[in-house]
Amino acid sequence: MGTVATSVISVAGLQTHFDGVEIHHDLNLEVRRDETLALIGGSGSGKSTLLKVMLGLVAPRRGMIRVLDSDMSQLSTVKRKQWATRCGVVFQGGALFSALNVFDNVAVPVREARWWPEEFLNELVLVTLRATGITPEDARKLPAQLSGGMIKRVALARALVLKPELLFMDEPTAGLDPEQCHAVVRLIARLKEVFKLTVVMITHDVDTMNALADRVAVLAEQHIIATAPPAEVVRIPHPFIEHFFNGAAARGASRGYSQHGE
Amino acid sequence: MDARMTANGDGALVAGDVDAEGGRRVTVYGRWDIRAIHEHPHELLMSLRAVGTRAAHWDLTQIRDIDAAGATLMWQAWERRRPEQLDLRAEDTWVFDNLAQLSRAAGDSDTAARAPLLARFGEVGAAILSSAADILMLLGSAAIDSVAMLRSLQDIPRREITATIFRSGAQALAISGLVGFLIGIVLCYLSGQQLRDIGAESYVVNLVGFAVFRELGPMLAAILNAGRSGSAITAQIGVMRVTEELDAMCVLGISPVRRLVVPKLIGQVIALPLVVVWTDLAAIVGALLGAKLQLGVAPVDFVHGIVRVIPLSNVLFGIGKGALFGATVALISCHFGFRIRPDSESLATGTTESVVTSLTAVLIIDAALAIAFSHVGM
Repeated sequence: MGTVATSVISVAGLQTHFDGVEIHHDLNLEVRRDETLALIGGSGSGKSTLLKVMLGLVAPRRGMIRVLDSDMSQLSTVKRKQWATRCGVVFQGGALFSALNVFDNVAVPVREARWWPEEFLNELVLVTLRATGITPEDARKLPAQLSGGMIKRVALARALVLKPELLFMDEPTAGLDPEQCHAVVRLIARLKEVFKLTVVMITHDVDTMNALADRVAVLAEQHIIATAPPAEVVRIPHPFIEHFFNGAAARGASRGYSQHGE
Repeated sequence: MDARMTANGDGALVAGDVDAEGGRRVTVYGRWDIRAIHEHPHELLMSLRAVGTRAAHWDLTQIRDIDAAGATLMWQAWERRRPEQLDLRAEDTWVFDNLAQLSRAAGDSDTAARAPLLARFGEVGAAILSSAADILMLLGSAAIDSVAMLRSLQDIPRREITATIFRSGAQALAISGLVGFLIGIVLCYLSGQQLRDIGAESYVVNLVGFAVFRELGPMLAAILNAGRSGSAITAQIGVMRVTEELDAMCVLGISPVRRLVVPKLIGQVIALPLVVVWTDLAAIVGALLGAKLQLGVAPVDFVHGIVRVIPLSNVLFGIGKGALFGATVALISCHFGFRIRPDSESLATGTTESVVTSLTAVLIIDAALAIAFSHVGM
């Protein structure tokens, strides 16, 4: 990259409990500016909980979490609102507001932040939607009328409309057919360049990971057992990593996206 | 040199100049993304308009960052058309291409005209007729399924029926009893005042008895039932629609009418008459207390009076109305539950519509019965 990599997210000594069960124990993780970090791990390993901890949605029992220079445990309600404009989140199911149409879903963050006059809002929202491949005709539809791929695109538009620095994605390609999956991966790669984003994504899909990730963090045994570029992480001699990647290979699911969807 | 420069927000700059050919040249500098410019969009737009028109040569290559927000302001300054001379960085072309496509699309489409008033009345009428037809069809399906269940008794959904009786009946006893008791007291106090003025205190028994057994008992029970159980039935079926449980039932070969509508219909038809009896009793107890306190009528005399002057047919008529109201609320609530679309707004609207329609239907049926059976028990 040629620049000094600064830390955007810093998690140290994290300990999280859920219903009396320990989810994370002494978990440490760094995310550098402008990189795409893929978080992988088995089902129930605590990936989504870690994402929620980083977003301040779940309070840890112990540990220090700094996201975009803010200590998440010290964030007041007012500061949290300002902080939230610097982060975009794409939830696994999209989490679109079902009562609002596509346009209003994307307009929600702008209206909530009161950042942009209503008379200019139309073009801002429609251009952002177009950037994710949604047409003005589709902008009038309700989320229930959208396909899985379109829901992901609208969720991306809503996450990006305030031009965040940091984008969190939980399983961005889950539930999509291979063609849609490939299209969404290419879209994310393009949007990362256009919006100059730092991306943290949870994924189970090895092809998505290979296509998008600069580094991979493996969550197993309640902590991050390894962090390395995709090409190197597969060679780490750890039973979970071997099982995870051998399993993916055995499924023969590799669609072989090249880096950044080319 | 004619130059003008304006700085706003986080370094958004625009400069006007005269180029070598004597034309107007505008150069834009700095950050033009929403984070940098959101505090002063109107001022920036005015600056852009003041510095140059669409006819000028626009140089956007010196921009540090631009997004849809900054581009929108420039697009507004250019009156939604691309300037003939526009220099752009390659990475910024997407946003202006999208704006150009949007402007073309906007020119092609007009907003839908509002339908005339008469047509809207017609639409409402058609919707009411369609709902009525759907409810009748639902009743028909429920009747067919009920008959089919009678042939094979093991298919009768006993648990669902008893659950409905419990929810619509047992769980409604407290509120129905309280409302009935209080209405009995109020009725006795208000009518007692008037009757005492004309020296007809003893007629309070007739008045309260007829009002409670014939009208108030069934109506109070039905109104509370529509609000409590009706809304719950609609919401339950609606959530099943949202979570695709209804589709799963169909795929598994389970009839939603048999599993959902019939038990609720039977449960309501059994539970509501019982609630009517309970509400009647509570109202009579309230009236008995009111008569004692207001008019000095002894409780024993009040009870004897009720037994003497109120024909049994009146009580049975009220109980029968309870069964009919129970069936009406069940059918309407199920109908609106099935109509809910998979979104939260539809769930809220459907539940409201269900309760309002149930109450309206109960009132209309009550009025029709009052006219049709005016000679019964009088």
